[in-house]
Amino acid sequence: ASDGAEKLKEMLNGYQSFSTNFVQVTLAENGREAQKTEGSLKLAKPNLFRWETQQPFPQEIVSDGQYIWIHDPDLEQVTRRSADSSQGSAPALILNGQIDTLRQTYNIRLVDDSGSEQLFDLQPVSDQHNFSRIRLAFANQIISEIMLEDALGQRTSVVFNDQELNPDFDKTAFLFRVPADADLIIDTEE
Amino acid sequence: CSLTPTQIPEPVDTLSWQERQDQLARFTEWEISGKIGIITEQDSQSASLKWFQEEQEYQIDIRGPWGHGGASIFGKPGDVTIDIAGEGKFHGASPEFIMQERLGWQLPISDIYWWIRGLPAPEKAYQHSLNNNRLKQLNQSGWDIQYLSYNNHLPALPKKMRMSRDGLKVTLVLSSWIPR
Repeated sequence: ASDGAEKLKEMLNGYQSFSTNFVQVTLAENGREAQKTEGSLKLAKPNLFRWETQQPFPQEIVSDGQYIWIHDPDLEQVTRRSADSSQGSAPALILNGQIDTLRQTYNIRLVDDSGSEQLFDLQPVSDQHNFSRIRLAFANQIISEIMLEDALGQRTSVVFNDQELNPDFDKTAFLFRVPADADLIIDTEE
Repeated sequence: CSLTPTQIPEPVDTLSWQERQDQLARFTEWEISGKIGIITEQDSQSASLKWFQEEQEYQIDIRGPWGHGGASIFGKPGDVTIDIAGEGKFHGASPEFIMQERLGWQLPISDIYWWIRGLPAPEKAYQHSLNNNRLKQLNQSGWDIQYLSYNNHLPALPKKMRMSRDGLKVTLVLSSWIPR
């Protein structure tokens, strides 16, 4: 398999903004479906995104460029972290196309390329990472699935649908307003 | 004539507090899925929660967004393993001991085994208040527990509860209870 990092960078450079719906399924290590939820993602490089999932596990993760807000409506809890503190999470790096940073922590291999479809396999350089394996699938040059396996053997698959490249968002797309009834926690490790 | 579906009346939970305690004490096998919010003085986390209980054995899975990070607790009386993502496996006699050592704070899993059903832990002093024969508020082992809502099982089981002690506040949302 050729050097995957350059190919992945090339595939993720084709857009400045991105939007999609997704279905997220988490499988416990015995393969049983532990959790299924649907959601949507809006993203504008380099570091703006809004990741929302619906019932039964509603959650909103918004990066407004300065802070990352994690809002759990049913817990009535909002956590604010500095934007750079969790930029290092692999899914954020992948979707933002920050492959030069990603390749410092994951070996990126292109394991399948049929022209219209590509499959990348990422394995952590050291075992101190939460994800023991990540696979990325592309169809017609657009990312179609992210598969994440964590060090505890749990697999999460995020399948994208209705992807749109370079949509234009209105300026409130990445703003976060703290709901009145939520506990706002400022992450002091900023 | 219109065929109105016969409405089966929703079974109303009219158990007394004593009857409820007896029934819930015998309910020792379940699979819970939901969410847990943990607020400490320095940080706050929110994660998905899975709790498999079979008599005295349990497995509790806590996972962050995208399955990121988290931990699994495997417990049998006197023999507990906590597997923390990216850190490894830790063994001990009780989950509280391991958590205090690894995380600097602890959840009284052995008591939560009772509280999560809406029961005080046995053989320990407690104060409580009821609301239509169900726990509304409980003080035990230094924790203050608020029962914010119940589901419509028979007997009713907690759906949202908040446990706090000193600088630690834990919110549990128990979206589904599957009796095993």
